[in-house]
Amino acid sequence: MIDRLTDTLRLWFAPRRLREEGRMPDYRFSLANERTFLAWIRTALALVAGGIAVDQFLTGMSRAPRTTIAVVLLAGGALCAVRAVNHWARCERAMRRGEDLPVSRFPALLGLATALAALLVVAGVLLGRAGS
Amino acid sequence: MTLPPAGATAPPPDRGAQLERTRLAWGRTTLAFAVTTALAMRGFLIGSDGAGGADGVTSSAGAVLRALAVALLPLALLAFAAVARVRIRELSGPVPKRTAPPRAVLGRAALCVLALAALGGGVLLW
Repeated sequence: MIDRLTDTLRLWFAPRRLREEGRMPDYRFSLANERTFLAWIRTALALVAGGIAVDQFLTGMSRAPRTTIAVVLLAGGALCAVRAVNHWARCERAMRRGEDLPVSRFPALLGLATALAALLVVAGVLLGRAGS
Repeated sequence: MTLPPAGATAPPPDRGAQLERTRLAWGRTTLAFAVTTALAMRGFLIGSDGAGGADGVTSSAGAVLRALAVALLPLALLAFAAVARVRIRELSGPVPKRTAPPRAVLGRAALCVLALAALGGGVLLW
């Protein structure tokens, strides 16, 4: 666990280390990696937009739960943006070294968290309607 | 789908297709960023009750913070669009020798998203 942490920090902050390592991968794989990064960024943007929308449009909900759900979604968006860079760097390094691409539980966790947030929003909307 | 005539060689691979797909992906992402920025600005300018900002805040400090967020949000979008524009230009033309962008470029893009999340979240915090 600590190894993973120091590894990640080194990957983030070691200047130019990534570029000089290993063999340059096939350009199509590099571009595919870049597109995956952008897909994660779009996911992050969607979560950020969701958080902003929950706050703006769910006026039927009381302040506290509405703000909580919004903050959770915004934090999820920030997390995805960070993950985008991290995953891109790890994949780039794996391709250069000829290793397997890194596996991660993050997508599954994100899927569950998004489903949970959606259910909470549904509950909030229905309860808000019922209350008014 | 018609088969090529017997003896014909396969068409040369479209080496530009991957580049174009990546350029388009940057464009899509910039669009998503713009839409989210617009939503955040709407929150500050119109708000959820039509009065602008967060539900009845009348303090001058709140107004200053709101003005600051409205001013900074387009800057975050411009910063992201600048990164995208440079990257799209790098990917135009023939296949470049080194196709992976430096990590710092992607880090800057991600930072723009983080700034957007922070600014968008600011509307919640007062």
